[in-house]
Amino acid sequence: MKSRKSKVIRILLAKVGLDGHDRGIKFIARVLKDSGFEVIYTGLHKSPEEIVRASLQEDVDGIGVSVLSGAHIEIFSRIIKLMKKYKIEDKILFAGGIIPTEDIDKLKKIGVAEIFIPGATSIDIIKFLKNAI
Amino acid sequence: MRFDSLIEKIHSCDEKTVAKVITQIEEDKNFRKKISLALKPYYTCGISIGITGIQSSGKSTLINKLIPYFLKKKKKIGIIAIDPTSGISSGSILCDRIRIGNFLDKNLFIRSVATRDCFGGISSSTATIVNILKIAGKDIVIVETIGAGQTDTRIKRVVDRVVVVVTPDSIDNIGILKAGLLEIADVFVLNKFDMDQAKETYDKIKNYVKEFNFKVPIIKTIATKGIGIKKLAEELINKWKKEESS
Repeated sequence: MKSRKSKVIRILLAKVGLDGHDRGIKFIARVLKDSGFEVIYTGLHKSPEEIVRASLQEDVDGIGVSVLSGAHIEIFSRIIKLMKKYKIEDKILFAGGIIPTEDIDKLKKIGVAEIFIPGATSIDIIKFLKNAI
Repeated sequence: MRFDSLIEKIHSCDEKTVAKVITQIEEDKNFRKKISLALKPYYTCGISIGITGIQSSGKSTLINKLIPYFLKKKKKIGIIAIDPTSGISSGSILCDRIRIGNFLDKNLFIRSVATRDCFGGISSSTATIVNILKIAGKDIVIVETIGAGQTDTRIKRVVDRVVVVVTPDSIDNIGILKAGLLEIADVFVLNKFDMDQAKETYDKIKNYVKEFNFKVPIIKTIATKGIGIKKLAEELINKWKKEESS
């Protein structure tokens, strides 16, 4: 086992609303675990407020939300609003899922740090997290 | 006395402070020692309950059903949900929150903890985190261990009461005699009571308890259906009340 000199990175992974496609997020959870992250996976059907409050209590460094339902703009706007309310806007918020390229800039503008669309590799995600945190 | 203002903030249950302090306790051994010492003079009246048992015996599901019961009784609850750290990558997946629903009640604080480099079913920071949550005003702190094996008995040292969850297919005549997990029970829960062999297993545990004059209640539950939960919750609270009055 590697010695733990540096801080362990904690990431919360979540799915919002009625979207039940969790194969991708479970894969990411495993990949992050295998790269030494502590992953808190909250399961399906959570509300933005539940995700934000869980992130506060878990004191995570990053929040990854997977959306495949098409409601990404609404969901992320709400999450960012709530992150401000709970004063945890310093945490890195990243997105994954089927998100049209024309929406990527919109999401970045409101505060989503990175968006991973189909085709993104797990190495991209790990690299991004290690750089950002 | 640089901890005074910090402890004051913990005491008012400022969730962000509590969360940050727990992170620091996990990260920094020296800080953990110092804050444990600083917390000593503070009186708390909360109780801590450890819930342990083998993998997929229904620990999280039981906790999920206990939470609404305690919340209804106006209790403030802290949950420490422990999952294992990988021995290969030192990463972990903490997913006890999946089954513990309802994240929004203001009286509920849940923290997922990885075992990191500790053996015995809990993390080395668990005892201090229990104290922190008690100082933060939680009436009941529930610690859920990892799926416990026979030697994962360290929970006994950090909580007031240990609930050992067993399932009908996990007990045999010789296994029950061995040292380890079964010895540390203050309450036995026989979960999945709708399984075959449930009645036989119940008798086995009953005999075990009787033969050794081991005063431990055995509670039958079917956690997924919420059966037996009230009895378990009352058992846990009543014992506490009795001790308070004595």
